[in-house]
Amino acid sequence: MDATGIELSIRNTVAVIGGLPEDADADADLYLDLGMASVHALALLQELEERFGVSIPDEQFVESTSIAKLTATLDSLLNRHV
Amino acid sequence: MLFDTMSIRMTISSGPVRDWATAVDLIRHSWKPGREATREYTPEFVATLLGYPGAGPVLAPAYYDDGALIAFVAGFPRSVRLEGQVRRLLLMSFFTVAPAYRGQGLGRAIWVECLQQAKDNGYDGAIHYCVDGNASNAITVGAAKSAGLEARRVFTAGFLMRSLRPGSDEQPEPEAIDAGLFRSAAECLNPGVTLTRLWSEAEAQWHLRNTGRLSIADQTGGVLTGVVQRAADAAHTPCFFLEDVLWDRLTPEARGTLLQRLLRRASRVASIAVAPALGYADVSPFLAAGFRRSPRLLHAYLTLWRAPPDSSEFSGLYLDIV
Repeated sequence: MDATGIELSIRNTVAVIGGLPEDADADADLYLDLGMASVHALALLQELEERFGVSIPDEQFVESTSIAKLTATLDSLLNRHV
Repeated sequence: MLFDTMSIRMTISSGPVRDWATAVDLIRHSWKPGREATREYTPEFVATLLGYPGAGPVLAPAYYDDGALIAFVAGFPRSVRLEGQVRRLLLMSFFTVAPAYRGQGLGRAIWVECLQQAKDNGYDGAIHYCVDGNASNAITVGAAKSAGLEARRVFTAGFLMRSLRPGSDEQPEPEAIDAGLFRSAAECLNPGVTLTRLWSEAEAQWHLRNTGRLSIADQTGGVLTGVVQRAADAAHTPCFFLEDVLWDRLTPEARGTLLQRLLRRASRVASIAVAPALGYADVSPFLAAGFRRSPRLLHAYLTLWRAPPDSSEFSGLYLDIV
C-alpha cells in the first residue's frame, strides 16, 4: 500500500474512533488541536495495528500525533523491506 | 474590584468559590477535550477532595462577573518529603478561565492570588500539573514569575493504558485495606525518589474509603489503589485511573499477580485502565500485562517560596494527579 492509501485508511480510522472529520488537517495534533480524547489513543493504536497487520512500537506511536506523522510511521513500518 | 485590561474594562468581584457544582459546570464548558480535559469531574468527586483531613480553609480563589463564576483555581494540602525534607505543599488544580474571559490576565491574577493565599496559610510551596502543549504551562510559569517566584518544571509524566475485557456485571466488593499496611507500603518507596507523599493515619483512612476507589493489597506488603471515573469524551468511557503503586517490597512475580487481581476487579466497572508513569514505581509489570504508552504527557511544576530544590529534574514523583 502506498502512502496515499495509508493516509486514507488512517483518516477513516481516526474518524470512526475519534469522531473527527475525515478531511481534518493532516498536520494538526489529533489530541491538542483536534480534540481527540487521549483515552481513544489506545483504540486507535489497536485498530491501526489490526487494520495494517503490523506492530507499532509504543515509542513511534506516541510521537505520531498527527495524521501526517501516523502516515509516515506506518509507511515506514509497512514498506521498510521493499 | 475594578479589573482593567487593554481590551476590556469590567467590574469583577473576587472571593472564594461559593458553589462547587457551578465550578464543575464551568470546567465542563471551558476545558477543551483532548487539550485540557481527560476526566469528567463531578461535584461528588470534588466534594471528596474538599473533605481532606486537616485541610483547614479551602484555598480556592475565584472571580465573578455580576455574580457569575468566570475563573477559579483550587488548592489541596499535601505533605511530602522533598529531597529529604518534610514540606507542606499546596497541590493546585482545576485552573479554569471561562473562554469568553481569556486573554485578559484573569488567569495570571487568580494564580498569583492562590500562591499568596498558600504562603499566608503556612505552606512551603505549591505544585501543579499542566498537559504538554497546553497554554497553562506558560500562563502559570509566567504568573509565578510576576510574583517573584520560580515555577520550575521538575518532572514529565507519561501514561500507560490498557483495555479491560468486560467482567461480570456484579459490582466488586470494596476490599478493606488496612491504613497501617498502606502507610508502611508508602514509606518503603525507593529513597532515591525525589518527592514522595507522606500520609498521616487520618489521611490514609480518608484516601482508602473514598467513593469510587478500588484498592487491593498483598499481605506481604504491596498495595495498589485507583479510582473509577468517566473520561471526558463523548461516550463518557468508564476508566480506572491507578493512583498508588506501592509494591517495592514485592517480588516481580508478586507484583504481576497483584496487578492482575486489581485489573480483574476493575474490569467489572471500567473499560480502560490508565496508569501514570511517575518514576517512583516499577512499571514493567504493566508492560508485561499489555499496557501501552499513551501520547499524553503531563508536566509537573514546583514553586517554593524559599530555596528551590537542588534537582532540576526529579528522579520520581509519588503524588496524586488531580
